[in-house]
Amino acid sequence: MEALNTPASRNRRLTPPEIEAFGAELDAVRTRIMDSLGPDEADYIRKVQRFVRYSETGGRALLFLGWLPPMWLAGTACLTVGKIVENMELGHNVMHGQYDWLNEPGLRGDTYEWDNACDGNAWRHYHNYIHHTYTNVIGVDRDVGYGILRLFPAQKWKPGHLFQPLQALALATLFEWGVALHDLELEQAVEGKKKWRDVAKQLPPVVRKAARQLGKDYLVFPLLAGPAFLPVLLGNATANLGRNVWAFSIIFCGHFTENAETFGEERLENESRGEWYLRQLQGSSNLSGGKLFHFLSGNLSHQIEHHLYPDMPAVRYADAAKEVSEICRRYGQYYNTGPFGKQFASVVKRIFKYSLPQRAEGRRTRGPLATGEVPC
Amino acid sequence: MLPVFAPGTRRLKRWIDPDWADFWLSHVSRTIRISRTLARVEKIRQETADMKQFVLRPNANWRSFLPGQCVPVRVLIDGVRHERYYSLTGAPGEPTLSFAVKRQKGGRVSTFLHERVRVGDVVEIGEAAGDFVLPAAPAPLLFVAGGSGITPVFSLLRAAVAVDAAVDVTLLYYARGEADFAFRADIERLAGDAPGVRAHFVAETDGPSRQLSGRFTEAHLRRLVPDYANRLTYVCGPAGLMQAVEDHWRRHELLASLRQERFGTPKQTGKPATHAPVSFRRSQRTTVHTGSSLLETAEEAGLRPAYGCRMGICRTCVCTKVDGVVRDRVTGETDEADNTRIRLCVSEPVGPVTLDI
Repeated sequence: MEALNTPASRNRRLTPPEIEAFGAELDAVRTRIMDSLGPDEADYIRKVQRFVRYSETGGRALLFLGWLPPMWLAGTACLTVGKIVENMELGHNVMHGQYDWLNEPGLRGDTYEWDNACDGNAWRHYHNYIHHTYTNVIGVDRDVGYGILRLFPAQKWKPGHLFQPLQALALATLFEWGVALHDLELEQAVEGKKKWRDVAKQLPPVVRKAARQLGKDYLVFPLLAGPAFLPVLLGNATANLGRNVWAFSIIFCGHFTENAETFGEERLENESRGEWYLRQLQGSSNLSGGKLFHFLSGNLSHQIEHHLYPDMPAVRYADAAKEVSEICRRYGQYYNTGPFGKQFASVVKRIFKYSLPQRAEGRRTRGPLATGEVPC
Repeated sequence: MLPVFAPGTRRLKRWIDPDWADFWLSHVSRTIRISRTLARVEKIRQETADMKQFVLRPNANWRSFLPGQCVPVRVLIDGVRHERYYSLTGAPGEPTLSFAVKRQKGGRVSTFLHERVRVGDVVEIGEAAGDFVLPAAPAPLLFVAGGSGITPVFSLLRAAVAVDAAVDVTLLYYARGEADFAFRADIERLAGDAPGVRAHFVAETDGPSRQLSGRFTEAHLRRLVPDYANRLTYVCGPAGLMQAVEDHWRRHELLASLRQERFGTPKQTGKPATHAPVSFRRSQRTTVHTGSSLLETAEEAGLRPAYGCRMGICRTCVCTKVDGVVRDRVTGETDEADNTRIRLCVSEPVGPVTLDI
């Protein structure tokens, strides 16, 4: 039978002592880098913050002259880049608490609020907690397919999945709204697994944030622009669209590439620190590229390192990656990385492939663990 | 002149992100801000060999203070924001504020303030805090100060005289040597002007013309302030002095008339301590550490702090550690700084800890 999820063969099975040693080596990388944090990282994140403020304000200012096509193009481009960097290199990373050690009130993980339709607290709950703790565990990590898409054979096929290429396209263009509604678990409510009353209880902050974002980009700034109402509105919409598609692409490449693995809930029982590291490694995939690419992806191109060390300042992931990939090589673990084109193509392939039912439907990616053995 | 951001500011803040506005304001002014209180250093006076007084002009966000209170001073050292509380030494209502800093051996912030800060530099300050303040109703007073403990006491002394020129107040001021008395000239001038103020300077080592020397003893009290039992007493200074005064007042059942101001508690380092006292400031509860993590201890005390992964990943349980030393169970690192953010689920106390939950 065709292996539905190939990477099992790419990884050497590790004995429990090996897993422990593997975890200890990854801990050592973490300790080395965390101990070396200092003025460089502090300056860096403040520089990123300044970049965001200049590009966003500059973009909005240029759009006020938006009847002139070059101004509109320049303004929209500036604002798009500003929003991308704010959401990814600044917002996402700060909200992980990567810069809490700076003691800077504006860069505090538990209070930072980003320029995104998703309420910061909802994000901190389902992303920082659920997704980062239960990464790629089917049925627990709701980021696997975002409750809409079927991306792995272990997810049950339903006829609706036939349309998922279109749904994926819609999710890409409206990504921030998908993210904004994600914590409400609407699909669970539709299936009757969650009470609508509980959904309603979660609504107020979601609605508040949505109103703020819509009001800001589609009412206040266009009105402030007066005669340039329309170009500003269109520029803001384009910037949001650009950021949505970019964020969707980077994030889907992080966990749904060809060799990304999923896990059954039984994997979580008594999982050791080493096993946790292994799951993070096997469920994540990196994107190779230049410095600018890593910057624009918020260093989520180093998804593996991000999942091993979610609270490490992302600017140091490239540094960690050198050692992590070498450790993986020594332990015979596949280090999933590739250029954006290749990785994204494999994500698209997955979206199409699993829109159809498979013959071996319903089988888990991995069976239950044999005693004393961890399939790695 | 600093423009005053009056009542409209609050409404403005709801619409404009104050951080964003302050960022753009920083391009036109070094101190004008919507939300932060920034202050420009106007004067630095060397009080003693190891104490400097800083006089600063704050922006319009500065709210006044009560004499005896302290203020958090925030400085950026190697990109990291550090905060320490210093007693305010000026008088309320002045356009400037002042605080005095004793240079601590190995102290990051005091060393930075002594060595790096110059006239013209800008530092951030917070809101004044503390209940080491004058009583609402006038009463005969005794101030006992040791070393840098003079800073809040000097402020109290001056305020007491300002409120009532005939106030009956005695100051016992202990320092290491004759050259170590800060604000001496100011205090002597006050004593000269106000007939009810008596100031005694006691050096630990013998001075040339000293009748008194050494550390605080009961004999000093009996000789210099025979009616001390009838006075409301304020003490601030090194741990030894504080303890000696407290013991004496306790023995004579006078604790109700003793006000104490401590400058931090000695840090305990080393092994994690089960049964270390843990105080939850916001819930106003104290307990001893019994769980494996502070999160468990908090839960056992009946608190319900937010948590997520319980393994140090998601930071849902992050809270402010007001003071005390904790150890990270995963990395083994100890954290000794005050007002830092810690993960409850992987932290255990090394000594007494106060948490803001």
